[in-house]
Amino acid sequence: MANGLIQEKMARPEGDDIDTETIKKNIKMPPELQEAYERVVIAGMKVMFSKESHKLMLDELQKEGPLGQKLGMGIAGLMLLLIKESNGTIPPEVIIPAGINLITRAADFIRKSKLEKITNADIGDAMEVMITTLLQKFGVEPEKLAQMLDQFSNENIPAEMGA
Amino acid sequence: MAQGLIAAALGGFGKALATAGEMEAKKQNEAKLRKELMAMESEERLRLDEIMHNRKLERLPGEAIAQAKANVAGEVAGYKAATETNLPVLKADAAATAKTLGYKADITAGVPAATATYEATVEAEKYKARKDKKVVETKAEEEVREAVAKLKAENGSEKGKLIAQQKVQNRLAELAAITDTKLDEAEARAKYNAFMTDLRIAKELGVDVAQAERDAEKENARISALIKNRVPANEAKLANERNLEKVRAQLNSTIVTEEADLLAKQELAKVQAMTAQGVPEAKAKLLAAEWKAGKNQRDDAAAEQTQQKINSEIETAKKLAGSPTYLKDVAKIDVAKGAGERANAQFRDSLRDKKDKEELERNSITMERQIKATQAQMADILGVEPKKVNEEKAYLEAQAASGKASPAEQAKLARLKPLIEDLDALRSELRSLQRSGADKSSPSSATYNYVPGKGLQPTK
Repeated sequence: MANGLIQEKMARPEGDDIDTETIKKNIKMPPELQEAYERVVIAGMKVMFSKESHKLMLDELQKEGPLGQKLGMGIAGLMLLLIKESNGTIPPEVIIPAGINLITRAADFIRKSKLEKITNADIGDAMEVMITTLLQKFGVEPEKLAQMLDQFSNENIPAEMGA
Repeated sequence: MAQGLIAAALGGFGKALATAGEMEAKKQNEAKLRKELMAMESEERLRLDEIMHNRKLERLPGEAIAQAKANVAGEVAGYKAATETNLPVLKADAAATAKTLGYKADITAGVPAATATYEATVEAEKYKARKDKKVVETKAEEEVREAVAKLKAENGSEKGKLIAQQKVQNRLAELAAITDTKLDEAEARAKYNAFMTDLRIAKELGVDVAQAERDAEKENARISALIKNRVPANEAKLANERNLEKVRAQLNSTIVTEEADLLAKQELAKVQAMTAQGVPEAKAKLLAAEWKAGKNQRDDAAAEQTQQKINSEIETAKKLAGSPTYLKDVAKIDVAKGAGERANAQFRDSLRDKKDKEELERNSITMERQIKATQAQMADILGVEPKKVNEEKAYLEAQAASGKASPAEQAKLARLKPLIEDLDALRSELRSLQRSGADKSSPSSATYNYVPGKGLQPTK
């Protein structure tokens, strides 16, 4: 059984090989949700990388604190903003996968711009922080989080990549 | 005898007085002379004092300079001895501070400031050179000795060796972590010095540091090159901002591609959804392309409108699939619906015409009655039958025109005048009303009332 988003064979914590392409390949959305998922990712990317709102992302990354924490909180904030702006029309099932995709997009930016050194462990921390923050916002009990993460990993990470 | 006695007495007294006077004068002269002598002596002493003072003043700076130089020489010798005997930096600092205070004291005591400053500068330079090289090294050596002693004392030399070896490796890793984006020259030098200290400790303990020394040399060369090629902070900041903007623009451009892919997929899905329900493919493609164009142009309203059309087409297609005569039925319904609507419109028109006609009739009757009432009023005024009103009116007007009308006849004419005007207006309106007939837009179709003195007024 998978026990986390970053699996032993998938990536080493000290490595830096988790990127957008890896995540895109490994997140399998049901066909009926694929479009909504892609739309949310594109909307999130527009907020992160459009000239008008890019500074918000930079400000968030230049705050004090561990990189994973900053990244996770930043993307959680972005997802909440998108949910609010869509008047709650985003299907709940796509929120976490789209958030994970956006974390890797932001990680790509950090890596390419050499803003900071980012490792797989940082990305893993960011995912955990984002998921915890979002689920707590939606009133999910913290003890259910591990169970949900397992379920998510089992459904979305191919067996050959798991532990 | 008495005179003689008196004379003698007077003479004696005189002589005594004279002697006394002489003595007094002599005393006074002597005192004066002494005073003068004392004054002369005092003046001479003062002059001598002044001369001595001046001589002292002239001699003093020379002596002070000599003394200051002697002090400096002593200090320098002491300082050299201190530094050469491995005096730690702090002690050397304290000595230098004391020496500086000494120079300040010399300047205050009268040593020419330039001399003192020169001496101080020379010594300060020497001290700095000494501090930069010898004293720092001395202190480092002292630290090395202390650390080696401590490590040797710590559970035997093997553990100490391992600790020292690990420290060297850690310091080496710190040096390797110095990159051009995080370069701080002072920090880099401090790290290098710290590495060298730990390296000496390890050497003293007998650790093989040959490889570490080679690595350190490489790192030193690399860091030196970084320092040499370092760009000023503001340029680095600008370069960093340009780089961030470049990466942002790169990632932003991928949004366009991904959005285009998504729209293409959505377009295809729409075509498939429509054709699956039986919408002709050409029509489906046209509508889907129209929808995508709206999205591409960020015209969500237009895209939404097209989406409604697509939904409608799908709905129609579904119904057609269930009933092949659906379209014919729809057409029939439309025809029936149109005919019904037309009938309704005609009925509404006929109702309106009827109402208008009744209103017209009502108005005509009202007006004719009003005309008759006015004519009756005129007959009363003239005192004739209504049939003879015109005849009597013509007579009175002829009388008035020839100036033969009596005051009573003139009064009758005056009372008749507004009634005549009202009658003319009533007749004119009646004619107009009868002419307009069923013309609904004509004001004549409205309901009027005759108001005496105001003529016809529309009813409210």
